[in-house]
Amino acid sequence: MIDLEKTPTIRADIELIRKLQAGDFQPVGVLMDRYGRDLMHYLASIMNNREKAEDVFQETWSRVLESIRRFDLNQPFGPWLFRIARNLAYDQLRKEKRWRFSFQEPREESPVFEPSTDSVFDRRLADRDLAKELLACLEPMYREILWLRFFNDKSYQEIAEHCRLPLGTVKTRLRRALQKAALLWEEMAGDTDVRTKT
Amino acid sequence: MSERKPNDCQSYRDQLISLLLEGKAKGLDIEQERLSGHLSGCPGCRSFWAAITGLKSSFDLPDFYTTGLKYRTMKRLAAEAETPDHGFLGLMIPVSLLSLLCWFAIPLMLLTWLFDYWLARPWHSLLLSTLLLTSLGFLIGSLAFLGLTRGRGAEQLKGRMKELLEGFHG
Repeated sequence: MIDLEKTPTIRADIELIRKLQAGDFQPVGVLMDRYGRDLMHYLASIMNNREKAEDVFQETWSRVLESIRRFDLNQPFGPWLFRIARNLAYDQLRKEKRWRFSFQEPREESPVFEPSTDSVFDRRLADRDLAKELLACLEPMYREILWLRFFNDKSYQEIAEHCRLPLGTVKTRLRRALQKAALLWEEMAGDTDVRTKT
Repeated sequence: MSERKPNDCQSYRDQLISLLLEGKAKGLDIEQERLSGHLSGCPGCRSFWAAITGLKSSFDLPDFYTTGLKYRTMKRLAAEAETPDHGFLGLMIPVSLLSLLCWFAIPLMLLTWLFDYWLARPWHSLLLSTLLLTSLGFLIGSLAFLGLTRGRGAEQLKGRMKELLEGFHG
């Protein structure tokens, strides 16, 4: 249970949410400023596409306003907001998967984790670029969990609560994400070696 | 260049993963020393370490939350707040279709299944069908009522009804 007295952010959120529940629309901007940066980062890490992340971002706030009356003031707002965003992001990804399965026509996209577009092999060999390629190739659930661990500095327990997964699954998934990245890395490094030799 | 043994490398890479995730490598100090020794001699594992630590830095994305995005989102929210929500219509359509399905398809299937019984005891069958249809109607009606009064668009619907009532009394 969260001690509301000890968390000023949560208390401040409660004041704003009370206003929202009373029908005052303005506090949503303050909440957006408070959570917007992290939320967009989070969505971009799942969607790997800025435009799509922005769409889900807007939809998330729309859902927040729709269901704010049902929000339990004893709970912190942040996790609730991120859970809505997470559900919407995965819904969107599922829809896209179905769509792609039907038509098999890859669309032009602008990925977030895109290596720099200089077509110089040396550049591609740079670790940072390679790492971005790795992230782009990973499945959304792995990108998400790595983001929560590395960018958001969340503990295993916090990740488990956020994703509603057992603690063991979180540890396994993180390990698997890195192992998968390692496998991809070997493929990419091998590919680069071959291309460099030719 | 050191001789590369894939199995050895695999175990060292597992240790590197632990090091990255937990801030410390699994095992005793002597094993950690071995890991450092292996890293200095194995370019493959060194690159692997660079790649997975690079994953961490790849999350240093630019700030995607811009004033433009905030403006667009606020504009959309304002437009949604002004536009009457027709969510209840969206609910009514599937409910109506479901009702039709229940009223026609389910009794038909049931009567087909009970065909012999129907012929043998028509009054019992008729009573049973009536009870079934009434229960289904009551259930669907209740769900629709709950959806309309508590679901999306309920506030707009209530507001509209209030206006109508005021107009009627006025």
